Amino acid sequence: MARYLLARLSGVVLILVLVCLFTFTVFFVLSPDPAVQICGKNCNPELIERIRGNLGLDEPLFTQFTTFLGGLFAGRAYGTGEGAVECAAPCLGYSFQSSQPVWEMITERLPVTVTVAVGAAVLWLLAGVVGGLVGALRQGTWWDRGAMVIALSGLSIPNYVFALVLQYVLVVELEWLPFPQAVTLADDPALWFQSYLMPWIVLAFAYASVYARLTRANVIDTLEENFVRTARAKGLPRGQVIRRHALRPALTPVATIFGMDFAGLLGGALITEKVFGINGVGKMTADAIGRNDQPVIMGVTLLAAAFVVVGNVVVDLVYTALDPRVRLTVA
Amino acid sequence: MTTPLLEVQDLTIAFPTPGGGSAEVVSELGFALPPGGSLGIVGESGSGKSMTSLAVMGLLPKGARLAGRIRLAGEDIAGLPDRRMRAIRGDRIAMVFQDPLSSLNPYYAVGFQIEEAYRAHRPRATRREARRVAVEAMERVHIPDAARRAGHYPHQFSGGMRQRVMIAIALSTEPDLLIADEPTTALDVTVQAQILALLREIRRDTGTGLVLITHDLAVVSEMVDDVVVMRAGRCVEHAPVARLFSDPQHAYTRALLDAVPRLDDEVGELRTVRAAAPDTPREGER
Amino acid sequence: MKRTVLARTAAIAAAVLALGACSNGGPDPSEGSGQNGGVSYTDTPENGGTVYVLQNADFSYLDPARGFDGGVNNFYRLVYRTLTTPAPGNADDPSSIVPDLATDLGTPSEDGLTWTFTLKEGVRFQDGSPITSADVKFGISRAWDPELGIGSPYARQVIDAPEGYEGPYRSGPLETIETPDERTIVFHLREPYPEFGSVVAQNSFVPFPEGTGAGDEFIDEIISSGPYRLDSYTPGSSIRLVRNEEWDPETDDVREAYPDNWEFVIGLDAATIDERLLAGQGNDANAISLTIQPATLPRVQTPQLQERLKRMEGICQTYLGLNTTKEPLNDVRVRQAINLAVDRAAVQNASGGTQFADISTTILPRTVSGYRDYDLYPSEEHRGDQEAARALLEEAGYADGFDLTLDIRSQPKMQAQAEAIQQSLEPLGINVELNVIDVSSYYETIGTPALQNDAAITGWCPDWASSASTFLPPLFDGRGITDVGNPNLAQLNDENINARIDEIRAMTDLDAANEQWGLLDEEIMELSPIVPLAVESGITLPGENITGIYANPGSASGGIDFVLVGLRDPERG
Repeated sequence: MARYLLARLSGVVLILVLVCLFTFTVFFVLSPDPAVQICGKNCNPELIERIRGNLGLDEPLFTQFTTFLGGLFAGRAYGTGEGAVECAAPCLGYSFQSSQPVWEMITERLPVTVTVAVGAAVLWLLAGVVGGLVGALRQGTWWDRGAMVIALSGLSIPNYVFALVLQYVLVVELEWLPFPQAVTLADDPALWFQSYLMPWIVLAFAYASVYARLTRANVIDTLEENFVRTARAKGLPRGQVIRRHALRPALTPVATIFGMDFAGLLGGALITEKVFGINGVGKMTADAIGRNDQPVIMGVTLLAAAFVVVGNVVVDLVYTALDPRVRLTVA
Repeated sequence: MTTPLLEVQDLTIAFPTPGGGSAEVVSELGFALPPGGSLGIVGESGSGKSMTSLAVMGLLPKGARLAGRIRLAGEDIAGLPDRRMRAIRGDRIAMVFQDPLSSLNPYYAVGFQIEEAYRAHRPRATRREARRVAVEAMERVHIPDAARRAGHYPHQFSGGMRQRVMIAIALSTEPDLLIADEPTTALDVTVQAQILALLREIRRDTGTGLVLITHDLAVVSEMVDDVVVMRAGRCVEHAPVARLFSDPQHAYTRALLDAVPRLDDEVGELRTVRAAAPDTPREGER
Repeated sequence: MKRTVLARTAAIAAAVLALGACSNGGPDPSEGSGQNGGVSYTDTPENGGTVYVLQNADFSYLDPARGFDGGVNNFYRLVYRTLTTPAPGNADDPSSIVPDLATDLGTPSEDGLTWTFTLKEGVRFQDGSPITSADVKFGISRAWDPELGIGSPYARQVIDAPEGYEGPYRSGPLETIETPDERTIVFHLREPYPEFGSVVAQNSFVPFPEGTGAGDEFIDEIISSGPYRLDSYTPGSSIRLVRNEEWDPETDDVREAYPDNWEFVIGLDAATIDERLLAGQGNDANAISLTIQPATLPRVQTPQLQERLKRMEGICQTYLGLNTTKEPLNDVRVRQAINLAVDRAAVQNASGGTQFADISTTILPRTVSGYRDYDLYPSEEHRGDQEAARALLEEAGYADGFDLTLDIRSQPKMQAQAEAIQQSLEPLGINVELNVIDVSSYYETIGTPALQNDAAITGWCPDWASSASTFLPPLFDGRGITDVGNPNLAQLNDENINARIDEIRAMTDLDAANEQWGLLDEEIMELSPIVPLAVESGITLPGENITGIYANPGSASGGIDFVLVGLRDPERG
C-alpha cells in the first residue's frame, strides 16, 4: 500500500508540475505584456515598471518558472529590497490588483465554496440515487418516465437561467425565501440555511440528473445479474435484495464519478456563485477573469487542477475499498 | 404410498409474443419425486428444463403465465403470492446455479453470503450463530481452512471451490429439496467429478431430495434414480435411469445417447442431434 | 484672498439658464430632468438605523493613497476627511470645493509657490487622538511610496519633493511640507498652482497618525477621520461601518451622518440588485445602490415605482476621439464634417434613450464649473447635417468619402453607439469599420499612439468638478502625449491651444479662470479633435425608507453623496 501511494503521489506531483508549466506558459508567454495585464485598469507607467521588476519579467523564462515553482514550496518575495512583497508558502502568486497573496484570497473564500459543494453534493446524491432507483424499479411506468424527463431538463437548462428563474419564483413571487445573504452558520443558522438553499438546488439539479440516469442504468443492469437471481433464490426479502445485492454494486461506479465531480466543484462553481453573489472561490475567479487579474486566475487554475488530480488518487483508493476484486497495482 | 416430495402435473409455462400470441416453453410436463429421491431432467439448451426449475422456485421472469400444478410435500405452491413463496424458497427448496462466479455477489465475503441465506429464514439467529453455521456448511462441502476462508471473496476461490460455496449456501438451511441446474457445466472435468461426488455424499448424509438438471447424460447416469427427457418443452421419455440407458424408447433419447462421445469410438465425425430445439421461449414450435 | 466661488458659479448658473440647457435645473444635477415625481428625496432623514448599499464590485482599496477610481470616492467620504473636499450634493454649487479639515481653501504666497492651511480645532481620529498638521503631512507623504501611492497622482505632480523621495517609510519625513505648529501646514510646490485648494481635496490628502499604514496595514483595516469607522471587512462580501464617536459634527459642514451604521453588501449580481430594490423586502427598504440596469427600465413603469426613481446626472463625457495624425483626419475640415454628420440623437438612443443620456455639443459636461453651452456644429434636433458635412468633405477633396477604423470595446452599449455613428457617416461615403477590442486590453490599445487606429469611442471624467483643469489639458495639451497610457487620443498638439492652457492655468482668479476654460472649450472644438456624443446618466431606485439622495458631481464618480443619506423611519426593516 505504501509503495502504491508513493508511486501515485509522484505521479500527482509530475502532473501538477506539468499543469503548472502549461498555465505558466499560457499566462506569461502567450500574453502580450503580463505586467500590464496584471496591473489592471487603474494603471500607470510607474506601477507597470514596478510590477515588471517585482515579477522578474526580464529574466529568462526558465528562471521565472523555477522561481515560481520554488515559491510554491518555500514561499518567495516579489522584487527586492525595501519594496519586496513577501508571499508565504505555498505561494500561488500575488495579486497586485488586490495587494494580497492569492493563497490568502483563496483560503478566505474556500470555506464558502466547500459549503456550497457539500450541500449540493448531499442533495444531488440523495435526489440522483433515489430518483434513479425509483426509475429502475418502476421501469417503464410514469414514475420512471417522469423522473427521466426531469433529469433531462436538469441537463438541458443552463445553470444561469435556472438560477435566476428559481430566485425570481421563490423569492420575488412566492416570497418563500429571502434573497441570499452572507451570514455564517454561527450568526444565524436559519438565514444561513435559507441563503444556501437556492445555490445548493441549482447545482444539485444538474448533477442529480446525471446521477439519476447513471444510477437507473446501473441498477437495471445489476438486477439482471446472476447473483441477484441467487439472492432471490435464497428467499431474501425484496428490499434486502435490492439494497444489498443490486444497489451496492450499481453505486460503485457512481461513487467514483462522485469523487471526481466533487473534487472539480471544490475549484468553485463560477456561475452559481456569481449569480447568487456568494463570496466563494468561484466568484473570486469570475471577477478576476473580468478584470484580468492573472495571478488569481493562474493560482485558482493550479489549485483546481490539484484538487482534481488528488481526487483521482482518492477515488482509486476508495474504489479498492468498495470493490474487493480491484487490487492496487503500481501501473 | 407416501406423499411425493415434489409433484408436477400438467405444467405449462407460456410467454406472450409480440403480436398478441403466446409461445409455450414448457407444455404439460408432469413428474413426481419421492422424499429423498432424485430426478434428472435432461435435454438440450432451450428445452425448457431451466424454466421448470424456476417455476418450482417461483422465480419465473415477469410476464410468464403458468398453468398446471406444483405441489411440495402435498402443498400447492404454484400460485402462491411471493411473500409466502419467499419463506419456502431457500429454506425448504434450495437451488444451485450453473456459473458460480457470476452467481455469487463479488462485493461480499462468501461467509457472509452463506450467513445471509441462513438468517433470512432464522430471524432470531444471532450473527455468531449464523457464522458458525456458515463455517460448518463450508466444512461440510470440504472447503479447507473454512474458518479463515469464510472472510474471503468469491474471486479469491477457484471454480470448483466457488461451486462448493454455492452448495454450502443451499445447505445452510437444511432444505428438503435441492435443485441443481447444470451444476458442473462450467467446471473442469476433474472438478466435475468432485462436485458430483459431493452431491452424492450430501444426499447420503442428509437424505435431501435432488433434482438435477443437465444436458449431459453422462452426469445423469451416476447421480439419479429417474430421468425425464425434455425436448421443446415436452417430456418425451420418463424412465428409471438404468432402463433409459439400456432400452431407450424414444428416438430422441436414442439420439442423445448416441451423441455422447465414448472413448472407444472411432475417430470421425461427432454424431449430432438433428432438429435442434428452439432456443428462445418466444418461438413456438412443437 | 478669499475666493468667491459660490457667488461666481451662481452667476454662471444664471447664464446657463438663460442659454437654455436641456434640463430645467441648470447645473444642479440633483433635480435632473424633472423625472423625479412624487417622492421627495430632499426630506431630512432621521437619525439612526442602518443604510445598506448593494453593489456588484468590491472597492479597489480601502487605503486612500491607493484608491483612485470613481466608485471608491463616495465611500472614502464616509470614513476620511481631507483638507478640503467637494461640496455636499445639496449645496448651492455642488461642483465646488469647500473647506473640510482646513479652515479655508488655503492661502498662497505672493509667488504662488507656497500654500498655507490652518486646521480646525476639535478634529480627531477614531481613537480620540487629535488630528495634527504632522498627521496630515504624514498622510500626504505616503503618496510618494512606490507601492502605496498608486492612486491620485496630483500630490506628487504638484508638491515639490527631493529627488528620489520614496515616502515616509523608506525616506523619512517630506521636508517640503512644513508643520510650524500643530494646526498649521505649509506646502512648497514645484510651480505655482492656483487651484491647489482643489488638489488638497484628493484622496491622498487624508491624514494618518505618524508611522501607521505601512505595507498592507490598510488593506483591511483603516484609521478613520470621518463620521464612521470600519467595523468589519470581508473582501468581496461586505463592509460594515459604525459611528466614529470621535467625529465632531460641529467641525464638519459637509457631512450629516444620519444613520448609525452603513452596510455594504458586495458581490451581488447586477440583475439581483435591481430585483431586491424592486421587491424591497426587509432591510432592502433601507437600501440604495448605484444605477439600475437598462434592462430593468421596463419593470419600473408603474406609477409607484416611477415616483421613486431618481435620475443621477452623469459627470463624464462620452466622445469619439479622432486621431489627427492619421489621414484624412489630419485635415480639420474632415473632422468638422464628421462633427456635423454624426446623428447624436441616434447615439442617445443607442445609449439607452433620454433617461440614460444627454446629448453633448461641448467638450465639458454640464456638471463641471465653467461649462458653457454652445453648438459649433448644429443640426436639426441633433440628427446631423449631412449637407453641410458633404460640402466640407468636397472642399477637402474627399467627396467620395474614405475608410475609417473605429476602435470600440466589446460591450453592447458601445457597439450600439458605434453602429449609430457608422450609419451617420455612411451616406457621406465614409466606411466605418468597427475594431472590437476586449475590455481588458482596450485602454492599453487606444492609449498607445503606436497601436491606435483612426478613431475610438471613450469617455473622460474630471478629477474634480470645480474647474475644467483636469479635463481640457489632459485631453488636448500636445505636450502631454505619452507613449503608453496617453489620454490625448486626438494627439492634438496645437501651439495656440497649449499656450492658452498655460495662460489659464496661471490665473489666480479661479472664477475668471473658469470662464476662460469655458471659452477654451469652444476654441478647441473649432479644431474639432473629438466629436462629443453624450453625457451618460443613470437612474437609481432608492429603497422606500431612504431619503437624502443627492448627486455628488465633485467626487469624480457622480454617484449618490453618501454623507447626506439617511432613513425616514429608523425603526423599519
